[in-house]
This record gives sequence, structure tokens and C-alpha cells, in this order.
Amino acid sequence: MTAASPSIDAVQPPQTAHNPGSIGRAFGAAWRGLVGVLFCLNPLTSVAVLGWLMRTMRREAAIAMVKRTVGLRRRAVLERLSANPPLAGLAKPPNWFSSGPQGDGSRLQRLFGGLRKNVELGFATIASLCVAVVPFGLLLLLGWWAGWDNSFNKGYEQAWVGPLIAWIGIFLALAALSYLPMGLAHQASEGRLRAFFDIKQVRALTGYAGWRYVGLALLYLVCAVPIFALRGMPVFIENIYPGFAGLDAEGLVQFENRYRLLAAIYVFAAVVFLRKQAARIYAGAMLRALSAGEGWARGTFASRLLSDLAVAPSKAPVRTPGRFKRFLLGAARVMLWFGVIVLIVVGQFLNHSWVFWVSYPLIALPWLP
Amino acid sequence: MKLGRRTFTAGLAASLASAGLGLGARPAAAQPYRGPNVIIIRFGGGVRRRETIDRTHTFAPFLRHELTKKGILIPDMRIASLQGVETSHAEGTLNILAGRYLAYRNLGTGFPAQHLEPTAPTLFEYLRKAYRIPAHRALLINGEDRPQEEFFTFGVHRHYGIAYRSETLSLYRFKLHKFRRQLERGEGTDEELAEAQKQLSELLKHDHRKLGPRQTPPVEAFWSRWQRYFGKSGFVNPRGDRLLTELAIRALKELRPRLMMVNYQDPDYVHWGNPSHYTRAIAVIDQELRRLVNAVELDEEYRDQTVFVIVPDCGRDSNPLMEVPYQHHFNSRSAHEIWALIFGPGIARGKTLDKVKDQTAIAATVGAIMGFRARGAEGDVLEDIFV
Repeated sequence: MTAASPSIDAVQPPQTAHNPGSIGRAFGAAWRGLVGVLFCLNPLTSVAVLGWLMRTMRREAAIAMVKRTVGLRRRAVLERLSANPPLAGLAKPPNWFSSGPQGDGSRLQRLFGGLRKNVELGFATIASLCVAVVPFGLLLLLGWWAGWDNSFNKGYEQAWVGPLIAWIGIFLALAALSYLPMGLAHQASEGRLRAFFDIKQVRALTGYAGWRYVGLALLYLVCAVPIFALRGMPVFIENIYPGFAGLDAEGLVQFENRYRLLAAIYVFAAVVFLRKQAARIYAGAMLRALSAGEGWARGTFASRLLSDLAVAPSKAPVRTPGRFKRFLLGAARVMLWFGVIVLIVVGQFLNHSWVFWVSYPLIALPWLP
Repeated sequence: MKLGRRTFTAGLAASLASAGLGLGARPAAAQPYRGPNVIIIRFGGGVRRRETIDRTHTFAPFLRHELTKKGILIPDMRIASLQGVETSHAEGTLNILAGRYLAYRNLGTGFPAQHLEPTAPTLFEYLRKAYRIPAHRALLINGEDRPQEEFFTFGVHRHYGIAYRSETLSLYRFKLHKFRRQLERGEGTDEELAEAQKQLSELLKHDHRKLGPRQTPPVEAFWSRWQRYFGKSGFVNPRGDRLLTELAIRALKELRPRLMMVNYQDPDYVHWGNPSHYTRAIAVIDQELRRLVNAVELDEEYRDQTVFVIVPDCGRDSNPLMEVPYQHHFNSRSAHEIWALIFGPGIARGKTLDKVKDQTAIAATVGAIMGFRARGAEGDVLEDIFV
């Protein structure tokens, strides 16, 4: 991804001619789900899922913006996008591998252009996550390590070090996690890496999103519970599955494969759900920003999209939240994200993994360590 | 030993407290003890066979390569898989001490620090009822992280109980001694005394059987010497499982125990996910075992007169689905799989007992070694270990 890339789906050509029926759509959804789950089984292939999610978010944000602006149903919106050549790429869900039947370039590029795009965007997302997630993840890891290592060695004199690092990590995590979903949605929508760091705009969008963004934090917390259960399940596996201790090597491999597959299915479904929700909330917030006449909103993808479709955002007056409401919204978000952190930490007590500190499946790589 | 006024008062108060608990004053014991000393090593908290007695993978080379030559290894000892039996530290320790499963009750305290109270006599009580042995010569050496295990010194039983209890040596007991003495002597400013009172009250919150801060005069004297040597800051004395060895070796010199149980525990730090804490702690216990065995061999009264019984409180999980397969010991099959090593006078040397044995056999066997019958023990005496 280049900093000035105009479109996240530049390689995806217009597809106005091809409009599959319901069976075709179901088959396509199953295929996308299958590949997504398989890619979530491995940390390397999950990079492509990260990129694919960014393309999905952009599409979802576009659909949501058009839907809300013109009041059409989803199918009508998709038809309208299909009919508009510069936007037709958004009418179809992003491909995992190919760049589409009418893609440009060589046959190889057409066959794997989509995968290349997914991987490129995946690494661009990792760059954002490295800035937003890895620092607090590392602090939590170091706090955990330092605290327990010191406790093991009975270093009473520096007993404060581990907890201090951990608390700094937690405060950083609360700030970063409150920012992250909107930041990623903005990056996905704008199709450029630097958009993630448009801190002023993302904060403004967070304000425009209001309670919906608090709701998103709640969804993250709810979706984190099964992750906690998946991490904790192996600990009690002999109680859950009494024959486990008697499995031979082959049986163990099969069991572990089934467990990994179950985890990948959930992780993929959860991240798709959460990212789509984030994109929809972003879309609503961006429309409110446009309606409010925010200067920075002009020239954004949302603005261009509406312009290309010759529609204008609502002129209804937009009330920005006051200081007290902003405080309430922020406090609610922080409490919910703190719940996610508690689940991460308690989950680490149940089933520890150093990688899990820096790559939580709903936030970073969609893969369960 | 010269008894001071305070130590006399302390002893008197302890006796009155015993009577006050309704558990009866200790009747005159029948005979002096002339049998071997026994040191029980709890190789805790929770270890697998692989990292301890497996010749290839051991982190305890002294135990595996040297101590096994001195005695008999029982590689397949188990904790029975019975309804309600937990593979944990307090439970495992009481299985060893009482020779029974589920011979405890919760004193109403919850997770994570359940205080279990034995409901069957412990080895200390059997011994002290059978022989004329004072409490300070039946010792429990306890770590600093598990105050809930401070009170395994006697069980609730109408024929045994507090009159036949053991003494405990631990940092918890040292702090009781330190704060109580500071308050009695009025040492320090008002603020310091208030702080000492607060600390003492906090410590006594763990004392669910309301035994109070007083210990027997020889033990109080032990702590006074400890304080003179290491000071009272807690920053000078050894820490972790090394502290237990220091207490045990000093006890050998100063209190001359006939039965002593040393509750090592640090391998349990792997609950927090760092595998090196587990393997390192096993290696440390191994080094401490060497110190303890050397201390016994350097002492004429203990050399060739002491039987060591080394046994884990519980095993650990071997869970291939987890990054740290042995992170916990949550009643899995592997957590029931332990071992024992017994060596000393009258015990077979350099042998392996290839039979499945039960953890509750330890109490019955210690009874057989010391010449009393652990009547409440469910396990059989390990007859095969004797020469």
C-alpha cells in the first residue's frame, strides 16, 4: 500500500456483467468462509486474512454509507455500486486469490492479484498494529514476566517493578484499544496506512459514533469470552473429554487438529463480525462528520463515494456530544475494554503463551496461539 | 535449657490454650523414642516424573543419579482417582501426613487459599502419642507462600489432636515471634508498635484454629537465635525453597527433631506460565537435598540413624494441547502420577520397586519405620522396601 493510494481495490475491476444468484452467493460465501478459516489456522496465512478484512471493512463502510444516505436496501445499494464503474469493485466481496475475471495484467496476476492485495494490506495492518498493540502487549508481557520472575526469586526489594510495568501496559492498552477499531476502519476506508494515524479525525469520529462505539467495545468483550473459553478448554480437557488421556499419538494429532479447526472457525467468524460492525459504525460517524461540515471530512473516501454516486449527506443538524457525555462515553469504553484485558490476563493464567500477549486474535493476527 | 520468665509464661499459656480448646492436655507418654529419625521431603509443589526421576530428562541429577543408589525408588506411586480427591498441595500433603484421602475439611475459607484442617491424626500425633517426644522434635518446615499449610500440625480427633501436635518452622512463625516479642517488650515508637500490632493481627487472620502467636519455649528460643543471626528485616536470610533447607539444617542442630517434614514448593510457580521456574525450582530442590543429606551425614546422631522419604505432593498435567504442558495439576491422569524415594538404615539400597503403590502408603510406612501404627492410614506398609 502506498501512502497516497486512491483506492484500496484498485486491482479489482468493475464486475457489472456478472451478478450471481442466491445459490452462487451462498457458494461464494461458503468458499470465502472456508478459505478464511483455513488461513486462520496459521499465523503466516492469517496475515492475508488481516488484509482481506481491511478490504471487507472498506466495502462494508461504503455500503453502509450509501444505504444510510439514500435509504436503499442492501441489494439495491450493491446494484447501484455495480452500475458505477469506479465503484463497481465494492459491489462484490473481496476475493481471496484472484483479482477477478476481468482483472488487468498477466494471467498470473489475475489469478493471484487478490492474494497479493490481501497480503500487502495485511502487512500494512500489521504496521498499524505494531504501533498500537505491540507496545502495550510487550508491556503486559514484561510486567507478567518481571512480576512472577521476581516473585519466584523472592526479590522483595524490587517487588514493585512487575506490577508497575503491567499497570502502565494496562493504561496504554485502554487508550490503544479505545482507538483501534475506529483507527482501523478509517485506515481501511481511506485505503492508506497513514490514515490510521489521523488521530484528530479518528477521535472526532469516535465522538460522532457516540454510544454505538461503546456498543462495539461491548461486542468485543462478548466475543472475547469464547476466546477465553477456547484458551481455557485444554486445561480441563480430561474432564470434558474423559478419553483424552488414553489417546495415542495419532489420536492426539487428530484431536488437536479438530480443536484448532474449531478455534479457527470461531476466530474467523468473530473477526469478520467485529470488523463489519466497526465499519458500519465508522460509516455512520463519517456521515455525521460530513453533515456537520467538518473540513477534514472533505476529500475523504466517504466524500468521494457520495460524490461519485451524486448523492449528498443529510443536512440535518448534528449535535456533537458535550464534555460530560464524552466523559461518560469514554468511561464506558474504558470499562468494557478493561474487561477484555481481564479476560486476556486470566486466560494467560489458565493457559499461558508469550505470543498471546502481543497477538490477541480479535485484535491482532486472527489466529489462536 | 534455662527458661526465662517470658518463655515460661509462653509455655504455660500454650498449655492452657490447649486445655481451653477442649482437646485435652497431653498425657504422659509411655516410653522414650530410640528408633531412627525420619525426614519427609515433600518434593512439591507438584512435579512430573519426567523432570525428576526420568534418567534422561531429569533436572534433579543428585536425586536421580546419586540418591537412588542409596535407597529404593518407587517410580509408579499414584494418588488414587476417587470422587472428591484433588491433586493439589494441601491435599497431597495431608494424604502423606494422615495416610488417608479426604481426611480434611475446609475451615470456611475459599479460593485461592483454602485452609484445610486435618480430620484424621497426622504422623506427628501418632509419633508423639506413642513416644515421649516433645513438640519441637516433631517439626513441619513450611514455605513462605502457603500460610494455609501452617496448620497441618495436628488433626481433629478425640484420641489425638493438639496435645500431640508438631511445631512449625516458617517465616510466618518467625514473624509471629518477632511482632509478639516486640509488642511485649514495647520496642519502638508508638507508630512502630501500632504497625507491629497491625502486622500481628494480619498474620493471625490465617490462624483459623485460633492457636495464637505463642510457640513452645525451645522454638521461641530458636527464633531468637535466628533473629540475632539474620536480623529481622527478612532481607538477609535465604529465600524461597532455600529458606526451608536453612530452617531444616538449623533445626537439626538446635531442636534435634526425630520426625521432620520439609515442604518444598517452588516448582509450582509454573502456574504462571514460565517453564524455567519449574525446571529451575526442581534443580534448586535437588541442590537443597544435597545440603540436607550432607548435614545429616555430618552429624553423628543423625548419620546412619535417619531415613529420608522423598515424595511429591502431587504430579502435574502433561497436556499436549498447551504451550506449557505441565502448567497446572488439575486432576488429570498425569497429576495423579507421582513417585517416591526412600533411603536410610534398614531400607534396601539401589533398588527399584516396580509395583504400583499408593500415596497413602507413606504414612503407614513411616509408622512402620518409627515403630508405631498409623491406625487411620488407608495405605499398606511398603513391606518391599525393607532389607
